[in-house]
Amino acid sequence: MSTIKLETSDGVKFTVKTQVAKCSGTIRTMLEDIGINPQDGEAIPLSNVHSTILQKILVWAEHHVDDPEPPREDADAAKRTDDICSWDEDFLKVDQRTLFDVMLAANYLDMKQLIAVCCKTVANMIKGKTADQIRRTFNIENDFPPGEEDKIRLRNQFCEERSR
Amino acid sequence: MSTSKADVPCSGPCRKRFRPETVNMNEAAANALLTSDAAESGLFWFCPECRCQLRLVFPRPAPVDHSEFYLPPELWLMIFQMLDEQSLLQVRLTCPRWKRIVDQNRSLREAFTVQIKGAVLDGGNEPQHLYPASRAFLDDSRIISVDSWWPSFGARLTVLDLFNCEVALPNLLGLLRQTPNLTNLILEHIRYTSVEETISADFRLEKMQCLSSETVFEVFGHIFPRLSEFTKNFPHEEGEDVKMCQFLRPIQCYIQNLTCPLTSTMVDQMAEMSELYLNSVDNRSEDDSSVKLSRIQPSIEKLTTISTDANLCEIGSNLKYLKYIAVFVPQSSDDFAFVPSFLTKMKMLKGLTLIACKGHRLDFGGFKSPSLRGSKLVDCSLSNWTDLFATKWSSLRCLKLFKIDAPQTELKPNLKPIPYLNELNISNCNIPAEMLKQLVERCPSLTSLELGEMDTVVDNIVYSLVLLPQLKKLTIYSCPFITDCFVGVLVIRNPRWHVNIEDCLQISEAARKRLGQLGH
Repeated sequence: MSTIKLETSDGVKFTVKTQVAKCSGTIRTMLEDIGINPQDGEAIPLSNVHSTILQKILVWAEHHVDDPEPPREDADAAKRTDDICSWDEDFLKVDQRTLFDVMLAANYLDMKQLIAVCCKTVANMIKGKTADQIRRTFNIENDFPPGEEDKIRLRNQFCEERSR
Repeated sequence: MSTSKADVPCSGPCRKRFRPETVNMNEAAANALLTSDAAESGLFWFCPECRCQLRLVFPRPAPVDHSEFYLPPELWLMIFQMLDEQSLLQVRLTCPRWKRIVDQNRSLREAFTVQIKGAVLDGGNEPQHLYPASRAFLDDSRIISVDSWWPSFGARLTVLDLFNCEVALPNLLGLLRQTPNLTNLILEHIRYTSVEETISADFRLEKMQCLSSETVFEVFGHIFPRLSEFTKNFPHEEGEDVKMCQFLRPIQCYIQNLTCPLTSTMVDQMAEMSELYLNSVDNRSEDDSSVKLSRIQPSIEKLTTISTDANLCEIGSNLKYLKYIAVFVPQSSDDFAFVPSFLTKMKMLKGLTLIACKGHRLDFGGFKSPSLRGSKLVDCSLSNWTDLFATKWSSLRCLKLFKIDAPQTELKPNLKPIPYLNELNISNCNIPAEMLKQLVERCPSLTSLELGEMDTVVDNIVYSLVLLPQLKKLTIYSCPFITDCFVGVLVIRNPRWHVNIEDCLQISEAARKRLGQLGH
């Protein structure tokens, strides 16, 4: 079984099955197009990913390595957020910082399926909440100038009343 | 899940095993560690002690401060794209940065629609707190003047839908003058208090593509210079067909899709438009205007028409590129057999829709349609059930039958299958149960099946269904004779289908629940 080495931002080296590592578009490009030869035993540096997060991402990739290419979805299907498989749901039951770090790393590593499932998870944290609840969920400061928020809220009401 | 209870090994020097819950590890991670060979997969886990020893100690993750900064805007955008209108409105209220993301991305803004209902727009009466939307519905309103607030609102609009409104044509033009980004305009049930066209239409909406209007004004041809689609579902008033041509003439090189009843006068005038190349025409005149049109517009690929078979044969010979046709069979005496021999003339045809009237018989005779991919038959009886099989349908991918009568006939054992059919949709038909079963069994490539409003769909069809090797989606609705037995067999066979059974009175709540667990 061919393996390659990956080195994270904090200097930890991982030995990974090539097939698993290729879940990442970034690594795939490095191996196939740029022609980095992992046989040399040299580790591929992943300077934006911490070892704790890479470890987690590798667990995900290992589980999904044999997934078929997802079908091209139409716009409505892509909007669904209730189709996260139960394994992924459990996998993403982590604190918010880890979830965001996984997202950032998945973005850097170009793992579209993982990004999508993370986006759905975060979208589900927003759905059905008021702005105030959203702010508390994500620890966001309300720094609208005074009065601005009320103005937008009134516009929202207008839109809510009028939308069909 | 017995493995999740197993202890996970530490990859560090201690080599001890730990219960996942005592070391704050979730089930997914524990399973992955236990089911993979650590040496091979590169998956390691270190217990807290070994982590210290190996200096793998990381700061404990704290709650994220200001998460709107933690993720870059492009990731927030991807998240917001999965939200509905109501959630997006709340997101806009959350903080200025998120508001900017929503407001600056057209793909998100398109979720917003403003509906103004029962208003009098007279310039002074500005709707308070108008939301900047890209689509607006203006219903039951009177439009008198729109000088004050409309310009900034109208500038963002791409779709404008006026329904049941009262307006003078000059005021409507005044409204449109301020909507430079408009691509779609729908004018339905409009009462024009004045149709004075003489005021100069000194503006052009270059982005306008689709116009739907019950009334045609010549001026439309000038203010929408690149219109590609026009729909007028109403019959013409006296002289209106001439007006239609005046409107079409300036846009003849752009217009491609035309939905409106044609008259002989119109076809004659269109013959003189040298730059007119229509692609899709929906003409529901009951005269022979479709035949005449086919002589002068050979570019048509998609046609909806009311025509006899003889006329359709000529249309088929004239339109070499015709790919889709929808035919309304003309009204006639009760015992009437419609023989669609025109199909032999339409070699390129990919889609056929045939809408007859109750009492019409459909007799496919011996024709072949080698490229036909999709077919929809509505409201007739089939002279011969075996017409559906055999080689003439060999390329068919999708078949839809609505309100079809198929009289009981003797089943022939060696009917050829419809080899590539993957979507079958039968509703409100009178097809005996065993014939239905036979049809399903002759479709080996079926991936999606929908049966609705049928008394002849009974439990034992399930045994035919479970033999379909490629079925992925099954929908059954309003079939009163489907019972829990059907569900029982499905649950035992547990096919990996997406099953949806609705409005079948004999299905119990318990069976519905069991269905919900299918496919996992």
